[in-house]
Amino acid sequence: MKYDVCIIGAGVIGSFIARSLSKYDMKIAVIERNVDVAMNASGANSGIVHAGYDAKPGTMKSRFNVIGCKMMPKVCDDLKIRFNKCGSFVLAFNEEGNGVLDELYNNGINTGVEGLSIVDRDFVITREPNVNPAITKALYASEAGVISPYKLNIAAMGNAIMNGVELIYETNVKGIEKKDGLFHISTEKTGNIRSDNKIDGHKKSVDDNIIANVVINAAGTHSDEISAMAGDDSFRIIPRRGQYILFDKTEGSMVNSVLFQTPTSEGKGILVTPTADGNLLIGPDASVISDKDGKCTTYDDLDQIYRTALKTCKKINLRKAITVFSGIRSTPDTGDFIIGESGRCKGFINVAGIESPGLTSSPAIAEYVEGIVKGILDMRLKDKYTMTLEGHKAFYDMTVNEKEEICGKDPGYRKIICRCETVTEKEIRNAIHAPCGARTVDGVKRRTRAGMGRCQGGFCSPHVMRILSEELGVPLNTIVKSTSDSCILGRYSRD
Amino acid sequence: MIKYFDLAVIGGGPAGMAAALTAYEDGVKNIVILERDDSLGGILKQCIHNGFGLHIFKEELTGPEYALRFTEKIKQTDITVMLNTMVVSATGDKTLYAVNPDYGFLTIKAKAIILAMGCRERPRGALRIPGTNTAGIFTAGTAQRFVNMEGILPGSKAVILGSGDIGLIMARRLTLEGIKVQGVYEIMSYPGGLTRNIVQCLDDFDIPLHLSTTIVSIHGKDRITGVTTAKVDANMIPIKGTEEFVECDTLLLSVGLIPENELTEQMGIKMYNMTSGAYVDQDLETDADGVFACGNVLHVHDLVDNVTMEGQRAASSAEEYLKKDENIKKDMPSILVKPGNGIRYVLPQHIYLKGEEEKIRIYFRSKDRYSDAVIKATADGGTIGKKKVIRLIPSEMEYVEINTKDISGISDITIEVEA
Repeated sequence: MKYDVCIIGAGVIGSFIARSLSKYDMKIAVIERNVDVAMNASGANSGIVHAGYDAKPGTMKSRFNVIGCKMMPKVCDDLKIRFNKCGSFVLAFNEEGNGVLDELYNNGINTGVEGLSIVDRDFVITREPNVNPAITKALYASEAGVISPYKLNIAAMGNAIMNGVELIYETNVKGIEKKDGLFHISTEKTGNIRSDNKIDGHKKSVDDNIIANVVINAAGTHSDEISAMAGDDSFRIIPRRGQYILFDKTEGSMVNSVLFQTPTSEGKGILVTPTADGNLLIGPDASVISDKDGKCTTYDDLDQIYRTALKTCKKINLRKAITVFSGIRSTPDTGDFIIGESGRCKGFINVAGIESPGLTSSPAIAEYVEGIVKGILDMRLKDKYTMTLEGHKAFYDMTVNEKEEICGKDPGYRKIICRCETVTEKEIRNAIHAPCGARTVDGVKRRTRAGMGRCQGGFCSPHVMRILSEELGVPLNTIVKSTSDSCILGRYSRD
Repeated sequence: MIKYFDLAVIGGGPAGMAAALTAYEDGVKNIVILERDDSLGGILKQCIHNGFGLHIFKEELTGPEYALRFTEKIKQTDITVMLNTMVVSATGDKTLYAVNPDYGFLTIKAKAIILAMGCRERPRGALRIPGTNTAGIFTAGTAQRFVNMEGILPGSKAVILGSGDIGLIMARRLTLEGIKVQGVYEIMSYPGGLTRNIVQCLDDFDIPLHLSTTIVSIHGKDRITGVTTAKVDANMIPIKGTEEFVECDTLLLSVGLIPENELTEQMGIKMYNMTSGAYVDQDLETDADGVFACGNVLHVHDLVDNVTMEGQRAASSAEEYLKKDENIKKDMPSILVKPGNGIRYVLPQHIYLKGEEEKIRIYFRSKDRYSDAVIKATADGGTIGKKKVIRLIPSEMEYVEINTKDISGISDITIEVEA
């Protein structure tokens, strides 16, 4: 199959690039090795919209962070993603820390960050009554906030699919060859989730050879390998794992903003934050690992995270933890984001090494990459396209009157599937049928929050699996959790 | 739509069914049971093993049979049963908001409410078991539902973490279905479930029980391929060097039950930390006037018979309450009941002195295992209740009886173990 542009990787970067390019009259494919989008770093991170005072002025990290932070409110509005602009504090606990705050503040001012100020202890304690009273000062950033990273990723890809982008799931890139100015990408299926294909946007790989004029490498931790396939081995990705502990919504109001600790000689510190959906999150640590897909948590590191978080807020209660998880950062050996057409391969664009603040930067990076592609291909805007999604307010977030109204109109809302998060049957069916819809139990969970609550799917997972099986038209025991081979159940007992 | 009831029972499991029936038999009119599932019975429906009803019916029934005894009776009454009805929120003035397939979004106002929402299982995340996030990890009750109600097996080689009753029952159930159960691992130095379940579900099937052992890591990329177990020390910290790899494709968790009190908390009701249930008096009344609690939402029980009896007690109290028009308790002296030496929790947590003599059973669980122990209820240094038990274990609930005539003028009662 021949495409104008082929994007490798459906993380938040690949998805936003797909969305930006989907305005133009051309054929675009996104190749994703997993069953869903946002399956790696984009799905497991802190969900912070960073203000941008952190990165060194002049770097790509700094530039795209600042622009991305300014773009985020409108992007979230367009994609109907909740952006809680709750602000952030970097907390200092001693003179050394106070000095770090000044450096960060000056850095931010030089970079063009708005809404920055150094604030005293009383200011912080008024806003954050549960903060450790031992703090001395803080750097306050009013423009920072929290979003759901996977929901942003899903929405960006959903938007791209609405504009005609083809998402090819469960497909690994095995080689890239350039012949007569065209890229020949050989692929291999990594799995084959069964579905009768009546769901929109579920494009199966039609052949294992994809041809494209332009290739965009957004392959996350594997982007160095993809780049090497195209003849550019100028950088390496060092996978660095970060672990998190997520707490019940009852703990979500423990803190009101993102609370960082100043990096000191003792360590980098970890953050304590409310999530966009109202939980409490602590983490991440950072450890270099050898396996790029080595997502796991460890006893000692989780213990260390908890103990470090207590420095920010002594009231964190481990009995209220509901899950632990980890994500893997794509740390580049160059020290900065790697974004641009490869010097060694024309038409091959690397968007690699996108670690933090990658989530914040993603819409800004996409806009920049759009410009690069424009310089290569002759692109015309489509007559008809959209940059906005229709919003569906979650039942959980509705007022009593809204609930009454929607239940009156649509019987699908009259059955609650997930008790903890009050998710209705209709919302789950919608999530399966939406562009970039769910095909796995975790896919439903990330789109609707069914199974995201304190019982972690204990009650609702059998029901979610039944609905998936009905909508996808496959037997119950072929439903998977998150990956192609993560079948949840075994055989029927009477088989 | 608004509907009015004298008594609303939230939950149609064993506690709610017993409460509604008793209230009906005591003469309460206009009762509703709000049940989220598509039939009454609660978790009993998936408990197809026997052993239920020895105390109430003096015979051994299966879970569905036990439930049927109540559902059949309820059918013959004019109790309103609303199925597929989920109470999504509640306020302190006894207003409930529910979603129902026939009425849509429904507002329910009741003169009295009985909370009988049951409990949920503690998931993997709550224990923060490290490792990979793979398929094949189930809470024991979810696996039980798949096997017994959907007829699908979770895998072929299982490890069970925690020796709670459901875990033990499932060890046997999986074995009977041809699944190899590698072992049951319990972090405590004694089992969490009933002794009869250790004997009938593990010993009889040669399934090893490893005490003072826990899981320190979960392996596998897509589906679980095994776990690393380790012995723990007296503080329940894993001991380095004792790790062992155990192969499995299924992990069942039976690591505790948590009362489902989100609605209770929304109603602003005072909670009791040790049970994660409401703080109640001898009538099982919460600190919200006319709101009662019973069954596993109040505290986790080991026998369904006790749940039934507690539901009946809550109903009798609600019936008494409905007969009166005002809050008669607010001016009565209240005496605290405190857990003392060796006691994890007590129920009720306080007692009203109503002016008339009343015999009250104070239920409790011990913190540890004792043999030939004496349970004492003391007040102001004097003993007001005493009971000898041959064996006292945390997994089996006990009680000691006191008489209100012995406690007038004192501020609190302590329940303690004398070993």
